[in-house]
Amino acid sequence: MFSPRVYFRQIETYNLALWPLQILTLLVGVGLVCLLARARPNASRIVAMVLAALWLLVGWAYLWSHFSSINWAATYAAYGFVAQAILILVIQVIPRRTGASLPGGFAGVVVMAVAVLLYPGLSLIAGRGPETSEVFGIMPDPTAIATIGFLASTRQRYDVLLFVIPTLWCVVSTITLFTMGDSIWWVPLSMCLAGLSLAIDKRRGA
Amino acid sequence: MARRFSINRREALALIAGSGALAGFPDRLSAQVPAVLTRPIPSSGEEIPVIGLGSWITFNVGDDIKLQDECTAVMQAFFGAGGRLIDSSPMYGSAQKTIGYGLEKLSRPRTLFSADKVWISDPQSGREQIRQSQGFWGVPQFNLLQVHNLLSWDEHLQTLFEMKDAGQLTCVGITTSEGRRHSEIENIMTSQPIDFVQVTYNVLDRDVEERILPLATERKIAVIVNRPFRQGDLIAQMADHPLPDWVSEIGAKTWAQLMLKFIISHPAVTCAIPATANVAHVRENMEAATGAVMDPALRKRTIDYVERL
Ligand SMILES: NC(=O)c1ccc[n+]([C@@H]2O[C@H](COP(=O)([O-])OP(=O)(O)OC[C@H]3O[C@@H](n4cnc5c(N)ncnc54)[C@H](OP(=O)(O)O)[C@@H]3O)[C@@H](O)[C@H]2O)c1
Repeated sequence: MFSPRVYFRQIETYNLALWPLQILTLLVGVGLVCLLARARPNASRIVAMVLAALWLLVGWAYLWSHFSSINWAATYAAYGFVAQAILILVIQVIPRRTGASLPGGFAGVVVMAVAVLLYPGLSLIAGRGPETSEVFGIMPDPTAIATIGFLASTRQRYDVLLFVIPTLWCVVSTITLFTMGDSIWWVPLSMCLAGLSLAIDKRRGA
Repeated sequence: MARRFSINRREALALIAGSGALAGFPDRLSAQVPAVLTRPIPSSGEEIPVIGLGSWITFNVGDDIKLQDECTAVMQAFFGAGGRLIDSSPMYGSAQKTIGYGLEKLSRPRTLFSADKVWISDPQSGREQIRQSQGFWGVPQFNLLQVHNLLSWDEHLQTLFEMKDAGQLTCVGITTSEGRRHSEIENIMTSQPIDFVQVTYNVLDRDVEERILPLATERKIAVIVNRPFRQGDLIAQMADHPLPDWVSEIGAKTWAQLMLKFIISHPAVTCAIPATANVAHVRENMEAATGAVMDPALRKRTIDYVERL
């Protein structure tokens, strides 16, 4: 429906319009990873609250305001991102009982750290340059993968519902990149599956 | 060899001259409009050039001004080479807006033959979608509206016929692609008074030769051909192979021109609509609408040659 040139030029323009917000969301991401890694009381609730805000930001700023101009289906994806933000609030933030860290949940934190720290570098590996970097809290892929990492490291009642939208997004993203012949098309789905299998594994063991 | 070769230079000059261009798009149209092969729309007799311009993917550039200007340059080269029919759809992202932007920059060439589609499952929303599309193109009405991929075709066709009767539309059509729902297309061609049918046809996808193209001739329905290059794959596939030596007989210099000449040489075809975002390519494609077309023997040789590759 759109050419790779148009798709990546749009990401470039979007990144430029938001710059230097990327630095801030990257630092926020690092902060969230540290918070989870050190298993502070209330950590999962704080992380969930920030994630909900970032799902809203990405849904509105990227999907609704940019991507939908070349892909009408992005409008529906934007609704999905808003729904995810609300679900995170309802399932992870509002309940009094905070999410418990899972034994061995550290692996989930690693997935989150990779999404925050390494994902932006993928555009370089794909030979596209830093202008099309996908930064956590700014672009959907790293935000979705970091969320799956977070979910794999904690446990809360009904939180299985929170895996659905990030997983669907990773599938859509992989299909989009594959269709455009991008060399890193397999990354979103692989990282998503890694996070999901960790989550299943830890829950079975818990 | 060439069928109904109507020289429309004088007419095109008259219409395009003065419709010129704004700053950034110099008016070089008037001096250079070449003679192009045209075919009549059977229901109205209006002649249209055998090569048009598609807009799927290539014109979906969002709000990117640089890319919108590049598409405008493609449109300018298209009109400058004698092209008229531009095809789009609400399904094509921002393509309709890009066309509207280009038409505005080119001072709305009066030669334009606007072909758009209605593509919405709720029949009640058809008119609203058409109004919105007219707004994007910046045209008071369309020359042709087609029901895209037969979506809710029954109800939408009624709306389009009503619009035609009310003088809000010139022609009505239906579309499909890649061989989908051909028997339904045939039924509609037989039962409904449509002016146009749009199908996929190229040297390797020739299903429509069996029934749809003969039926179009019989029912006096104009035929628009989409995916003439299989979305570019056909040309990429052929690129490493030499052109057959008879191409010079029909004045084709490239694979793209050979592919287009093959399509437009079918007597039932009215117009092929290759899409491109490249000025050199649109010129090359429009050149296929000049010179001779293939006779049946040459068409057969082309099929044999391409199928062997
Ligand atoms: N159901 C429907 O109603 C339906 C379905 C499909 C298509 N359509 C219509 O038909 C149009 C054409 O089909 P399509 O866009 O799918 O595919 P197409 O026209 O077969 O191929 C388009 C591709 O061919 C390349 N190309 C064009 N001219 C070229 C040349 N001279 N040399 C080399 N490459 C060239 C273009 O790349 P460059 O940009 O690099 O030139 C573009 O990527 C569509 O745009 C749309 O308007 C309608």
